[in-house]
Amino acid sequence: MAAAEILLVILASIVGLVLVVVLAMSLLVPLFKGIVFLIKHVATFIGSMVMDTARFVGSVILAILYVPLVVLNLVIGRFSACGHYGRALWNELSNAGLCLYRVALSHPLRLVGLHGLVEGVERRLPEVMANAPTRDLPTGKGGKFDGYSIVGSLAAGGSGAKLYIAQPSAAKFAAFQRDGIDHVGQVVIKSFSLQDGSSLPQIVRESRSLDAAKKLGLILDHELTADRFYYVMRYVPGEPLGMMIRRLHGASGPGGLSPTNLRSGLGYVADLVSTLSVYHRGGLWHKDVKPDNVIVDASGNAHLVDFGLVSSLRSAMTLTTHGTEYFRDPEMVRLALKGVKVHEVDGTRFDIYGAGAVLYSMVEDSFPAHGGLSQVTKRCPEALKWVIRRAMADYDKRYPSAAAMLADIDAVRLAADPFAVRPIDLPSMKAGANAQPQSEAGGAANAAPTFAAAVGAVGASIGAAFKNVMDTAAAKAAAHGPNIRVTHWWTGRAEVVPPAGAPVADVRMAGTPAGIPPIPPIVPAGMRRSAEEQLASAKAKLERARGRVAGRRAGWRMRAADGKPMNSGVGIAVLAAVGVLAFANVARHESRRNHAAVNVSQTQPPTPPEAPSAPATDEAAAFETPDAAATPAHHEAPVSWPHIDGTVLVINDVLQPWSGAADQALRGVSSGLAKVGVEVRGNALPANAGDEPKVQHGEDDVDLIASARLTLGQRPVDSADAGELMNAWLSDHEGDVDAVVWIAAGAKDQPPSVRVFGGEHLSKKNLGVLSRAVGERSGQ
Amino acid sequence: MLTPVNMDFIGRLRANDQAAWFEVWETFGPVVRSQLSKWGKGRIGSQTVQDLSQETLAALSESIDRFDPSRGARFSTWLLAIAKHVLGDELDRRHAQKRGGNKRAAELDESWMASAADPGVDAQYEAGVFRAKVEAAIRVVEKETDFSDFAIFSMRVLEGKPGKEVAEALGISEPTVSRRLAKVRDTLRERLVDVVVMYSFTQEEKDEAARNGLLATPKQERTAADDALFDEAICEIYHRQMDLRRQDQAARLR
Repeated sequence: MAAAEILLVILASIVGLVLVVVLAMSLLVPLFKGIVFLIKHVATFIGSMVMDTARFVGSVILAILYVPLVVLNLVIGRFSACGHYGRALWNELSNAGLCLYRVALSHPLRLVGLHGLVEGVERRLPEVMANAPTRDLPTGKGGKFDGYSIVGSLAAGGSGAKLYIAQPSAAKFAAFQRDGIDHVGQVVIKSFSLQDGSSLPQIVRESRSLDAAKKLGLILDHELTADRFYYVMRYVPGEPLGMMIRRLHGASGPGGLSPTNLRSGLGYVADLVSTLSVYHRGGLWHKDVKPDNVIVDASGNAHLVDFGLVSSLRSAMTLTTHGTEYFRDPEMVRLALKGVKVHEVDGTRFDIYGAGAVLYSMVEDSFPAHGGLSQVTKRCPEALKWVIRRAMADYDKRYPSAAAMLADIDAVRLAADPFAVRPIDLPSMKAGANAQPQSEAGGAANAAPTFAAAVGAVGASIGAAFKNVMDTAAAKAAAHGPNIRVTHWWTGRAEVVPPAGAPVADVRMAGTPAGIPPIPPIVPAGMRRSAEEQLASAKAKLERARGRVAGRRAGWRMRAADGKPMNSGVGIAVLAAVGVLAFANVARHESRRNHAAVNVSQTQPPTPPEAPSAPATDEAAAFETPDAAATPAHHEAPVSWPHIDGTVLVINDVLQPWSGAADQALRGVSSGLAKVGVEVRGNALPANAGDEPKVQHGEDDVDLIASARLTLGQRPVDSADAGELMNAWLSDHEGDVDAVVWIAAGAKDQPPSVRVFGGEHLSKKNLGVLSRAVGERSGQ
Repeated sequence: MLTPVNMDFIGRLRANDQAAWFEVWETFGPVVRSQLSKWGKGRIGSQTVQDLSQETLAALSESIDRFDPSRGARFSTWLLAIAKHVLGDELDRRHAQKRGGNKRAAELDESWMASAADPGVDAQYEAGVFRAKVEAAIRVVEKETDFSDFAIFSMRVLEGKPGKEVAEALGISEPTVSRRLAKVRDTLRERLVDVVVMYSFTQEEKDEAARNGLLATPKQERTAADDALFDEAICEIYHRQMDLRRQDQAARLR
């Protein structure tokens, strides 16, 4: 019994001891941890206080030393040095102020665990101050703009421009209304002046981007003088997205955005992506997508602003590295450093990268320092991480269009519980990770409700009109955008992958009845020529027409003087044929008035250039319909081609190295141009000996080509409205160019398609001859 | 001895290929800047260090002609020596400008190569350079593999999500996740070797992968434990590299 009691006591003692040890451990360990933490915390506090006090003293001493230097340089008139020391003084005072703030407020609050009260104040406050408007009423000539009264100013961005808020005068309002621009309130004037420190390259760059921004109807007015360039945009009052993001995070806590705030933030990004979709379908890209270029208005709509880098997707210019670090795709920089041209890449994908980076910064309240590999550390739906990853993925793996990205964002934003959405639930995943979720036309239909919100103050009227243009151009835009495929991972060797599927003849928006032609693009305000210019142009055309008539008369007289009377039978036959053909021609041209470009391609299979069988028949054929031109000609001996007096601009989209078929076709074009004797400008073509055309090398050929590409935007050259647009372009460039021969890359192993556009002053006869000489053809 | 690939790399730098310099600076910029800041110990402002862009480095491409691989310099020290030289040159230029004497910037001489042989770098820098190489290899793999496959790798390895969670998120089975992950892992192993060799001048540098648990075991001999170790090492390196980039970003925005 006693033994059992002893055993029990021992067991109880052991259990008790274990319990005591466990209890002690569970109490003592946290206690020790707490003590260690407290010691570390206090030590950190003391260390921080000592360090900041020392820094404060050092800064004050330096500041005191700088003061006499500032004063001395001011007195002796060395203003540059004075400014230099003044800036140094200001830096030291800023440092001293920051140290003082930390010693007096930040560190003590951190010591008692209340540092959340002043978290990030030292960063937020200067940022707000930096964004504060500068002097409202500018002085001097640089601040005066005819027709506008300056009422305020905005903080200048990185472009070196001054930004003013202005009220247009009554006359300006009337001018806007005449140009069909309604609902203009206050405007923003972005001014680059040499006097204000802007450089010439900046002015040139901005003025180049102006044409592109005008296409979107975003520019209301502009002026370019010898020392100043400014343009006028609608004013969107609001706050930058970056500031809104910080506010949302401040309200949600350090863990990440709350569901409500996440939804708000996603709304801003959806507006941004929707606007980008508008840009892309209009054949443009923004190139500087970042939170500071997105303004959120009082209604909660986000607007993309700053058109300083907006470019045409088909620009012939070389890619540049402009943009903002962390929001600019490194791949774009690599391609730019390789000298790749804008039209050789799909610029929309760089904007999509920027949108992904904005989405990342919205979720993280930070920049994606790691590019596409940046990790999301804060609370975020898995599906949204997927969207970020896809948008910032490698160039050829990211979303094929902004519309596809928008669909995914909306799937998360509009879900009852965004955090419950899985990547597999996203529309892009349902359609296949690498497939285009929907056509741009479909995307346009979806984007339409958000379009007004996205463009917002830019104007629903512009939106409605522009939508038509975009829909026609954009249906195939993504499909035809060239792709760059890296063929060697280290050297970065890349090849241009031709778009899948050859260009189609009709780029009409899905759902538009086939018989209805696409609505031509509106010409935004400021882009139209003045009445004076139009009158001068009309007079010049008249003079040229008179000259041509006089030339023909002279030709007839010369033939008559040669003493070779025309065979009366042949003459009657020719006159009869011309009469019949003219009747048919008039009937045909009633339906396509002003459409000067002869499009043989839609009805005629590829044909090599061929010589006319006889001058009379040739002239008739030149006037004739494509069907007649397509009739095989049986001619034995080469006959000389009629000479065409004019200048032809050659635009060659076929990238080197040329395939055998392409090379042969290009030589054919070159030979055709040589045969008709026109002056040739633009891209060089291969030629056989003896076939070299008369080449004119003009310094502004690059500009001409860029301007022509800008006019077509993303439209394929054989699209329905390309002829009309190029006709207008040729009218604007008469005197420089009489016709354009545009060679577009064909599908793989297929010859390129060739299209000829002729201005109004080039006779239809000559246009027909030229078309046949160069072998106008479709790539299909 | 340099491999042909290395010669190609040096050749591109010698040819003042801006894209090559951009690649080098994109890959190793953060770790070099971090080391320079550390060396500076406050004497060199963060702004000055940040000013060392790839354009500045590219301006030194002529110096590459004097590169002599037989002297046994490591790639990491060679890189740092160039950056150090650029920094010194930049500082000299600024001082000359300040003095207003229209003095030319310090001429480039052969001293940079001598500096390259100077083992004045710590293990932390060497580890940073190696991590940058691994990051470069991950980027190469991102380019080469299917987007979904790389996303699986990213979720599973870099974010450390369980296979089941990844499978549910993507609506696929766990074995599919494992299979696709293995595909990316194999590619990464191969590219890792390529990239490490690419950015290595000495045998010791080339062996770093093995020392860091990234040994390229033959496929037949590989076990699940090898794969787990590999994934773990990649994950750790990736996170450390991310921390470095964050610090670099903070310094640049300061």
